[in-house]
Amino acid sequence: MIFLAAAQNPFLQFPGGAKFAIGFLALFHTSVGSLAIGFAFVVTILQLVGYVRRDNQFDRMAKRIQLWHVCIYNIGTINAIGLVFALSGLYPQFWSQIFVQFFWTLIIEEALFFMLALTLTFHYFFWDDLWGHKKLHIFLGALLTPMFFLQFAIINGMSAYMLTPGFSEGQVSQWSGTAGILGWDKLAFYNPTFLMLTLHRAAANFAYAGFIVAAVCGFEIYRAKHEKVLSWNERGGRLSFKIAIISFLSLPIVGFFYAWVLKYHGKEAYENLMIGRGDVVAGGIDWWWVKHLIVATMIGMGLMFCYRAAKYRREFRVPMTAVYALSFVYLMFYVGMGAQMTWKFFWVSLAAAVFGGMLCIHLLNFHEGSGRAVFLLMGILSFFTVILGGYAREASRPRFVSPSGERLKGFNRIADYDNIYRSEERAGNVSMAMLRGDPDYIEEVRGRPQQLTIQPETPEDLISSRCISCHTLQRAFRPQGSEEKWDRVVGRMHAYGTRLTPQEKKIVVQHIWEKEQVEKAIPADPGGMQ
Amino acid sequence: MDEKTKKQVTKDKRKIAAAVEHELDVYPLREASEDPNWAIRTVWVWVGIAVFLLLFFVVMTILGIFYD
Repeated sequence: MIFLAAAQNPFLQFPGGAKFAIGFLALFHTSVGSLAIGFAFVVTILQLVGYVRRDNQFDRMAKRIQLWHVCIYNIGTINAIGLVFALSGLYPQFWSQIFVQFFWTLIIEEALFFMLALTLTFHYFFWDDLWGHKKLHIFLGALLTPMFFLQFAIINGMSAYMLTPGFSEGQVSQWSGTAGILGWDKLAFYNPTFLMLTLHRAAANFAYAGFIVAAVCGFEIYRAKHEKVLSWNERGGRLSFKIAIISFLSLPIVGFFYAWVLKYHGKEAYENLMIGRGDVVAGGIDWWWVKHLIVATMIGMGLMFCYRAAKYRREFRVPMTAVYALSFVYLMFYVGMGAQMTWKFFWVSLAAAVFGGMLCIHLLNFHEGSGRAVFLLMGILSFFTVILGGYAREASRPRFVSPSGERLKGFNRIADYDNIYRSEERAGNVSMAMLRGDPDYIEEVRGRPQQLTIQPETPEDLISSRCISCHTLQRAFRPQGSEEKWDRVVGRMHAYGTRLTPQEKKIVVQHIWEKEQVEKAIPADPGGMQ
Repeated sequence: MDEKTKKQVTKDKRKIAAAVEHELDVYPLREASEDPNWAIRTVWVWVGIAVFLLLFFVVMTILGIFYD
């Protein structure tokens, strides 16, 4: 059936649709990339503990994790290339615009990726060769964390800009080198939420990687037949769990400030999350709720694990004062969310936390104090919070226009795109009319030779020439069902940047609607010979 | 699997386990001179380049706030 439909359709749609493709690739990349960032941090801590205690168990554990890191890094890189291909192919206008605004930062990002790959390679493959220079080796591994942090800050600058363009005034960098290089938009990078997003996600990555390492240790404990190997994985798991739980408990502190800047600079996104609007609710499920229920379960489990570790004075226990204080901050966070969403959310979350705590106690008792099951479960839950957190964040991003089709200044993101500089060198049909007036050095920019513009003579010409900047023509003829719906769609396209005068818009809507009606009237040809 | 093969497999597994356990017991610090020179030189050169580039990027990013 699918092939028959594809054979009749002159244009091949990307499997699953463009949004799904970007979403899948991006979430895959997030789950892998975040792990890589966290692994670098966990490896350094493990090596330091091993060096200070002269205990090879932690050094061997670090080496094992670094091997996973080498593999994960490769997978993440290949996936990222696919993501860039998909973005530039499926959303060329978006991609070319964001690339213009963040050109120099992306160049630094590329250099950092290369530095990271080389540092990681040297660190893992020279492990045994550098035993006589252990401190140098540990320092080499430690370099990964600041490199990752800087790379992460850059990519989050771009990510945060998409959510909160904020103060961007479209001030192009004067230090662009030549008129042909597109500079970067400083105020777009230093937007309201970039710093909080970076800090929040960095802490989350450390927690995620720590829980995953502990989960693998937990799995190995199940498999272990020898006492030493069992003890190795238990100790390594407990240390990784400690790193993870400390990072996890720091999240509401940074998260509070992130929520604060979102509330005042990304109002619509904030409301989409709190009220559950747009794609945050998909398939009838509010995925923001689901994520937070999982987090609540993790808090309960983490709290009881730390309590038991402190009570029995186990190795790598976390001071309970800190655990109680930060769990209280989490509780206040949930109270705040309950006040803004519904109180039902708060009570269900509390129940989830209590359930998590009770489950943790049961699992610890069942395994006679070993953390194997708790480690495994926390690792799995942590993975889901990363995926769902990433999804909810992207899904909450406001659409370019409000539901009524208007562009509301200060409310929708599109208002800030109006101020972005567009250099004359860019091809006319793939850029937005974003320039409000000319920059004051426009006289110095070499003028382009007058291009021949062919005026569209028929509505088909108009559609063919204007509607292909960002997507194929197949999308332009997907049935909508009514002329009002087509009016809204074309209005949205206009807001996205398609250049149409009001008259041209009317012609396009009328023509596409007439065409849809005509095609509806023609009976489908079962032989496929139409 | 016959009895003899089973005993051999168990012996091999024990040897591997013993090797892993032995590895966990020792922290084999050694003299710096025992490390291969080419590896040390490569790492020192790379550390130098990486630290320089890292500082350069950080300084550029900070300067970008004030200038530009």
